[in-house]
Amino acid sequence: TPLLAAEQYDCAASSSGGWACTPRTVAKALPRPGEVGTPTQGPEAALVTQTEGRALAVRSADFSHLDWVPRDRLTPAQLAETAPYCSGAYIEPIRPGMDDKTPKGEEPTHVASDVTRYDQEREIVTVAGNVVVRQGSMQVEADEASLHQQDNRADLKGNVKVRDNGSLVVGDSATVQLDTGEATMDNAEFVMHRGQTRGSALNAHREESGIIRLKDGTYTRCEPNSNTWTLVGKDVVLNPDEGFGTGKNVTIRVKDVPVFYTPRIRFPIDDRRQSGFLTPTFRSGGNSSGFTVQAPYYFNLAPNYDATLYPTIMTSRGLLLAGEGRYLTKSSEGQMGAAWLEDQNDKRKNQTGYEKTRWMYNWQHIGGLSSRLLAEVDYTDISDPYYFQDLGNSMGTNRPNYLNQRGTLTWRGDTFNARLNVHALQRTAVADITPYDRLPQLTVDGALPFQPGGMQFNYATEYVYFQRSLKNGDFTNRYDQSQPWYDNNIKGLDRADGQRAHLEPSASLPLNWTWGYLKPSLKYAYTQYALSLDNTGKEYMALHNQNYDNSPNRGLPIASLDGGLYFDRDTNWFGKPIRQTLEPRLYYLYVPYNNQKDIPVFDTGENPFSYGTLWRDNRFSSKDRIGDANQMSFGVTSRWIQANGFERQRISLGEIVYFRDRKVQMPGMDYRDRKDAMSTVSPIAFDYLFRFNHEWRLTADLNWDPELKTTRSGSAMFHYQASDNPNKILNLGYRYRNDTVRYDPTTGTWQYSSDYGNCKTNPASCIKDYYKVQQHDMSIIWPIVPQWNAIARWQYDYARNRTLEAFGGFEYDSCCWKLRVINRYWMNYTEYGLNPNLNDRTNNGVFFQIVLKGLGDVMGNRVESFLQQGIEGYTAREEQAH
Amino acid sequence: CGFHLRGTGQGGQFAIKELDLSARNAYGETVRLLREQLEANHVKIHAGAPYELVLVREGQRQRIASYTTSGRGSEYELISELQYELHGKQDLPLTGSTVTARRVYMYDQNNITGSNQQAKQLSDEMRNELVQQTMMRLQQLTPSKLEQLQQKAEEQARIEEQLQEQADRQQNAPQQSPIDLLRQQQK
Repeated sequence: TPLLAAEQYDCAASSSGGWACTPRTVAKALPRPGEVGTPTQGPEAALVTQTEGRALAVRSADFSHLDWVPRDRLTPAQLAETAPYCSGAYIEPIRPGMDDKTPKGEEPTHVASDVTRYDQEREIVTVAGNVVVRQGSMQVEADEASLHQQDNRADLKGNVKVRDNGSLVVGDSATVQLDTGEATMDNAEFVMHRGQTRGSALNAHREESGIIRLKDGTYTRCEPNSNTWTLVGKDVVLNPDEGFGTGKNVTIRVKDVPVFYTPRIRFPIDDRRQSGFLTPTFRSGGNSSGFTVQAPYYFNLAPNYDATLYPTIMTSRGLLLAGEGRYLTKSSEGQMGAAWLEDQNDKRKNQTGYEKTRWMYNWQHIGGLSSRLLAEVDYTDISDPYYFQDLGNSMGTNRPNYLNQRGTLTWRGDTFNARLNVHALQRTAVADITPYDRLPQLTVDGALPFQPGGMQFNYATEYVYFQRSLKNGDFTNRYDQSQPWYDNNIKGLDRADGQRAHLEPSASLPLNWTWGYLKPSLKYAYTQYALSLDNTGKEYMALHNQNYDNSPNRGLPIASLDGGLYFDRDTNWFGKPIRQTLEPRLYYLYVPYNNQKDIPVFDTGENPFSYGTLWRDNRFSSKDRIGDANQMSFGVTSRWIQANGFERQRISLGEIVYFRDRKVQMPGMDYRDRKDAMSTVSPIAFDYLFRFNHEWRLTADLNWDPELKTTRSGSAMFHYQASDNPNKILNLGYRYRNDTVRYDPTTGTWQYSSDYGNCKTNPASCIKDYYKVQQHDMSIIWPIVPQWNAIARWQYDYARNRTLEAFGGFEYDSCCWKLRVINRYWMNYTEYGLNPNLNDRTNNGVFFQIVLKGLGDVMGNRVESFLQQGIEGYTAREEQAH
Repeated sequence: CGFHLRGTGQGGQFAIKELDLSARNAYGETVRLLREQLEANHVKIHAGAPYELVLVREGQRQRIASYTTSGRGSEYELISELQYELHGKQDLPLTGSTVTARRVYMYDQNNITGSNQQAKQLSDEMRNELVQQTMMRLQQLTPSKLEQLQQKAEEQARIEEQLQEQADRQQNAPQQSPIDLLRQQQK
């Protein structure tokens, strides 16, 4: 019978000088509040094996014996650390010596108790009543104890608590070796405060090293009165130093019903990153891989580098071995990955580019952040163009359109930057034309160190060799049919490779005042080409009476005058002082016309019109075309700035007045066919931003053509993410665009139309409005009832009246587990042939994810990645999740 | 309507006269531009200044803003972020924030190099916007505001120190009746 308090003893000074105590006759345990019993568990449960996974309420009904503190009694700091649906937390009390790092046995042992008796002959100290024994960082509490001086052993009885930093073991009786910390306890319950986990065992053994071994032990993250899930194992070992636990012959029980068995398991017991298996994911359907099981293994190698292996078994393909590693140092960061599969599925075997052995590797690196020489690598290679379509780690939405193979060295000087870049592009689809590689590209940009009279002299120089190997002949598609490569449609000068040297000295006189600025500037852009063209191209040019010049050059002056004023006023906004600015700006640009028809286009496109266009000196994205201009841009921006500098609202409005037509166009296009190239004014550009606070914002832009009375492009986006509740996210967006200049691979021409193919000459194979963007995007995560959140997204294409992606489902979250069920419908890109009409397939699938908190981290990559892509703010939400 | 030319009325001028500036990407474009802008506003940049502006993190990510009808990306949204902190005496963080800029670019499957150039041009413009927004935040800081922030930070540091001391005291409380059971140690 455990002895409870000093009044149950009769003590008197003994002949030896110590206290001599004898227990009072019938020492009955006094009833304590906990013994009334709880509704979930009968008062008769006195052994940890009888509680069906709950904590022993017989020890204390409020589970204070496990350091459990209910939510309403947590301090704000503790509350912030507590997961939202937990009704409390295990809080380790501060006690003397808890952070003591001295090895056990080297510190004196402190004993405090109500009564002490010393048996000199046997060298046994018997203590009773609120016994506290401290040895280094360990503290043992009990109702009574016999301390055996000779072998430094303590036998404890009644409400035994053994504490060490971050752990607590409660039991009926215990034997503790005081010089080593070794302890054995009966009917034990334990708590690991850092991981907020608990468990029990009929017999628990604490080794010298602090490792806890449980015979027939249980382990869970659930609250003390809950048995939602429990891990039960023959031999469970917890290692608080390393922060992980292992188990043999383990079953996971849900409400005490076994649902899952594993011979071995390794799991983290605190919030440290741990090596070990991560929660496996299961998927069926979706694509041709069959039933898929992925069991990732995480290697925690050091605080600043780690690695993950992703062995994946696909029933219809085989075993995919994939892995990735990440690293981070003071001046560098990066990651590398690789994957390999001997593919059993040969459905694509007749298709061009098919490989039986499929692989992928990549390396992303930035080095030298703190030095002048910066090195960047971004390199990915794949075995075949279908790799990401078949094996991509998500559902098509974030499949890369191309792969970078780039290495760059940059010297960052005081007045100049010099850069050596080699950049190749690898395609991830058959149905695109071959892009140009830059092998190599050399640039030196800078300013002269002297500024006579405030004049600034800048220079930009570039040398690039653009190369590509155009494909000839046919390829074989999914239906074993031959089709000519799109590259065959590239005609004439467009087939050229070439070297380009560009020199751009400039002089400007920036005049700055607090109230405004004026910057006249004059540039001279000189470009020299050295082209090489294949016979197909030459023949085409000869046939069409085009003159081929293998070394065209172009020299153009670019003159501009940029000026602006700043006006301020202090005003009020919802009762708070705010500063409103008014910033009118003028920009005059003059560039003479130069016929650039004998120059091919390597890296240049025509930028769509926006407010930013007003202030650029070239309407094209790079140097193969320099647009002729004689134009004046007018714009005004007004900002509302809070006292702390936070920009609450911004409105920009502007327009360009053209004094001449824009004759320079992309190859093959004639400005006389484009009304917008001959208009006297540009579209009116409108740009708007409103942020109520950090939680919600509204952005909008509109480019409206007053001459043609049409909207060229526009968008509106509303985003809300509650800062105090991660479960509230709302996104509403609409985008419209119908002004794209793009390269049409079926005709080999530059087009201003939104159709795929040519609907006038070839209506059978054209797709109307294929490139017109007219889509809404709505997504939401919202709590419906406590602990239940709805998750949904709907992306709809009005141009062709169809849903691109729609998913809906729910998430249940509690203190110790989480469930997501989402039904998803989506448009997937799977390449069969060139015509995009054949390449879209609709898919439907149900995704199911269960996370038992405390057993590895939240995984389920496949569910997460479409949520991440689909819902703006989802990543931020997961970062603050518990 | 109350507007006046900046610098002729109240405010508008940079109150900070000297500042130390550092960045993880020590010679990057952002820190270079920011230094240029600060110097243009007559702020002396030197290591001995009482306040230090630290560019903690710069990053760019992109997400698909709209899709082609076969589920490939058609427009991409670029999101650039710059996280900065202002450190005061004793290297105490006084204030800090993250400024963000967003742009959308058109993606042409058949002119990838051209689309990349467009993204690069927008990235440069976004960097200018981030620098401009950071400047707007810095412009609002007056020496008295900075002094307040410094006092607040010191106060906070003091409170934390006291809490730590209190916890230490609790842990190192005198313990009663040490019975030395380890006789080996007595030797």
